[in-house]
Amino acid sequence: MSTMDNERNYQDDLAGIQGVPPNPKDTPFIVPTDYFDRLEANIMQRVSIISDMEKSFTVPKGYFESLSDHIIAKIEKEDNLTLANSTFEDTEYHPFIEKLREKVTTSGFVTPQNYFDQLDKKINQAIVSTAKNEKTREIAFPIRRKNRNLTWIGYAAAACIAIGLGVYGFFQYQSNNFERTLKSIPDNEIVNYLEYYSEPGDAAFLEAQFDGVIQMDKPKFSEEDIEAYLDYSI
Amino acid sequence: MEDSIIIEKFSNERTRNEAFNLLLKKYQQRIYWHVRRLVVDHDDADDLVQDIFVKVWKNLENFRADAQLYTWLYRIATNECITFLNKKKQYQSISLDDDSASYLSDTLTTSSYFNGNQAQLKLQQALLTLPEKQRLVFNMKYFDDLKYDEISEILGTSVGALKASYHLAVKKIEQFFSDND
Repeated sequence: MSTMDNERNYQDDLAGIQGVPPNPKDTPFIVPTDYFDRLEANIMQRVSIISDMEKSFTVPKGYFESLSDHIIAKIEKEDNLTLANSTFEDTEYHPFIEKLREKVTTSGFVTPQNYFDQLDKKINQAIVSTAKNEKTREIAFPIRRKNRNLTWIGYAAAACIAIGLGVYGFFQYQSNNFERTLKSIPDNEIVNYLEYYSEPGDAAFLEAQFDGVIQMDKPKFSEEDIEAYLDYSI
Repeated sequence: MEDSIIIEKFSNERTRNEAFNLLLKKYQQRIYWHVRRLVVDHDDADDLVQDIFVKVWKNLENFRADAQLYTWLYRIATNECITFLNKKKQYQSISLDDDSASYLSDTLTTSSYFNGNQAQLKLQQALLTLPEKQRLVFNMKYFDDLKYDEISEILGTSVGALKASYHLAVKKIEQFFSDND
């Protein structure tokens, strides 16, 4: 389908829809009428609401400092108690608690027999095993010492490795590049080059080096051809 | 033995073990019951008490005498219990916003290390419905008989807030008893 067909289809699809841009490259989104004219006013209204809310949520000075005293005063008034007295511990009186103390003197929880006789041994064993575990962890993961004179060795080692990798990568790239360049040269160009620049001994050398790989056809010259050549070249 | 003598002996390496054993003899039961009332289960309390005293062993030499030794011990114990209970809530997929300890009520009823009477059981059940702080304050006031100043040092809360907290706890427990009579 061609671009012209696409545009024609686009126009057909959107025919009759209001506010659609004629050019398909324009943004397809539309907004209500006068939206941008009213946008600034809407934003300012919301900003003023937020700042009014922030101003309204304040407390008087020293409110939290005196809050607990106000609560205690209210409790005293409601329940006819005296809580704020500095010797409250002696005068505190909750009728319910007094009744409860007659029935409940302990929590009801019990322990296994002779538990407390063995507890101190258990605790000492726990201390010894914790110390052992910490020592083992120290050996496995030695704590770094504050003296950091040896860190330059680490940096130097990292730099050597980075340089070595860089040099290796560079030479790899170079040889790959050379092979890629060589592969891009057409074979007949190479043959022409070799024919033009090679010396008489090269053919024999190549045959010896690439024995069986290069099939060198031995040229068939007659004796007359050889004599003619010798006459002209010498 | 005075706490100051225990601390002095602990600072000397030769008498450190002796000092620590004296500290254990003096405070292990108090710390255990404080922990037990919070976590309910004996095995959990046993593990926590050991962890708490291992922490005490590691940190006692750094203890500054600007606070009482037992309030320092209580503070460590309370913090360890709160950490443990929060982990338990997470393990049981209970929201950390749920401040009550109602998830411990099964442990209370099925535990073989609870032989309280009806009133004791009801009180423990009532305490499990309270928010953590109110439960702490009530336990320390009612069972440990600590003063508000001491509780304030342990929890880092003002005396006024503690008084209000204790009073609210008592009201809620009273309501629980009348609802479940």
